[in-house]
Amino acid sequence: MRRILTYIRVEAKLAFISKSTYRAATILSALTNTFLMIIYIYLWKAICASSDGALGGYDLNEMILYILIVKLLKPLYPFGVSQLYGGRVKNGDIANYLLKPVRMEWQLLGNAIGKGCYDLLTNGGPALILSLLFVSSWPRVTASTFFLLFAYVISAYAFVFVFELCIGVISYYTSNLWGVNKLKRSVMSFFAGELLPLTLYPQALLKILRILPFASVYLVPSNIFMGISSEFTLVSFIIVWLFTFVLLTFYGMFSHKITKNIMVYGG
Amino acid sequence: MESVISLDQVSKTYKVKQQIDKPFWQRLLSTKTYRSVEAVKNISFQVEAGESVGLIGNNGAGKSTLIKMMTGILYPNSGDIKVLGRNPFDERTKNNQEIGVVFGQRTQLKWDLSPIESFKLLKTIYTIDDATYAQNMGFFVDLFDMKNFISQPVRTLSLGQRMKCEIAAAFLHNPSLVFLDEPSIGLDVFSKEAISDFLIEMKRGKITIILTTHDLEEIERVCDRALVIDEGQLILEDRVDHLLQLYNREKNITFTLKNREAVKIKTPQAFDISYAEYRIEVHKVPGEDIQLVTNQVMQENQIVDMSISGFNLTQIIKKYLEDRQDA
Repeated sequence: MRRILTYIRVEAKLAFISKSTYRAATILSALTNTFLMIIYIYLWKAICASSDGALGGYDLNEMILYILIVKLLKPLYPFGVSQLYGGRVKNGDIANYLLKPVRMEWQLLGNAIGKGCYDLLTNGGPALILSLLFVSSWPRVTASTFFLLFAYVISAYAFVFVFELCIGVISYYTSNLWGVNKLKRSVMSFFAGELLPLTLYPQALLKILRILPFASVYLVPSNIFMGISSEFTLVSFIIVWLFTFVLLTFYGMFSHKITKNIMVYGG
Repeated sequence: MESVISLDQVSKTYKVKQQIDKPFWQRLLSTKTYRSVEAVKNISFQVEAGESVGLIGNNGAGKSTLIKMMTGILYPNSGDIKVLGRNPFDERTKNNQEIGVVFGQRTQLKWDLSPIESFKLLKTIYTIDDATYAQNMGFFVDLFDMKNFISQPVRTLSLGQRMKCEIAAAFLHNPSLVFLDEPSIGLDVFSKEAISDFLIEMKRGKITIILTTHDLEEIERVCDRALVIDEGQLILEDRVDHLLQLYNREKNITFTLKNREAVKIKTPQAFDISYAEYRIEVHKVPGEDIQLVTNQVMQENQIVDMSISGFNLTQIIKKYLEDRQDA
């Protein structure tokens, strides 16, 4: 286990350094995200100004906080894993990763952590500046809030990682993940509430979303940070781990079966 | 001697999707059709510890598929494979600790980072201790003269420099078995020579080497044994020195003359002789008749130069394949 942890750490460090070699791309990405955050903030300002009161249980200040938290969490989560996995299957580079004495999944995890940390840092600065400009009142954040937030983000991270592995392994069948990835992004964006809080969805849909793990990706961590907790917070923790284990079992069985029939493209 | 690799009646069949030559909308509606390709057919052989074996064959002969089955990436449809005493597919992770692999057309180095960063990562992956790592790195850097480019990002390296790093990476953890799938593809003569020299040096350390390349001179230099694969079948298996000896019982002798008109010679046997201005070529002369032929030419002509040539491995394999086709 110690060897795997060391490997993940080294892989994460190298992924971080790798990303930092493209400085222009980093600056442009940070600028794009800043503009997007500003657009969302003014959009919600306009919506709140034209409505009578709170939207989906959130006032304007909470809505801005929600946007900023989502924009900080999104690059942290390992959403690129399936694309990386599929790319390696498609161009045959998977062979090199299958020939190491550690499983490729640990490599993907280390890589995702390194990239996530880098993106969190590069997006964190603009988000912090915007929060100082637009957030009028801050929630009371205690050590227990941070601990709870950490536990929930880790849980959501594990779920997203395993979910991404499941999508990635499909590439053994489809060869190209382009379509599957587009669908995944839309599903994740819609069900996890990337653009707007899930509480703004119709009640019938919300009931379904409460038994799915996607709410734990953005909604629950945002609510914990803002001090909005309910009995759903605990339930969502159980749901997210339940789904993670089910998906992990599926991935383990499926990947073992599929690797007996894989083809390695290109000689 | 203990067998490091043992293959018994191994076969592998792929299903390849067929491209349909129809308009886009018809392709969307039509069902996919697949064609079966028998990449490897009932191949059996063994490789002993410390041996270096060259896999020879045309493009698509099944060499790479064979290597991928031996490394446990691909699962055979039938037959039995044992590598280092284990089933390479079921115990791939365990086997990976003891093997090194180079795919000439792929890279295991981190593209945006320097090779040294990738070597450090490999140190962690294979849990190489500090002393072994320092010793091996020192050895590889000297042998491949890597000092000048080891700290450059991989994307800025030339193909030859990158391949030297790839090979060093495969040998870094002191593997007992190394697979090299076309390591010299696209390299200039100097880089090829450097890689061959390196492999010869590594052979002394009793590492088992499996090498596939289209450059048969490299196999002649590095390998003890050659396996020729054609259309998925093992058609020839012999020691390299034996093949060279077998096919070099007869030599070609070329005489460069001082006299413009070559004077025809008389020999007891009917040799295949060609005459040209300032030149006589005598083909397929048995070793014991070389002196006789040389004497005859010298009696009638003034010689300024002569050369005796035999078949190299490239010519031998070509001749073998041609003879096989004719038969």
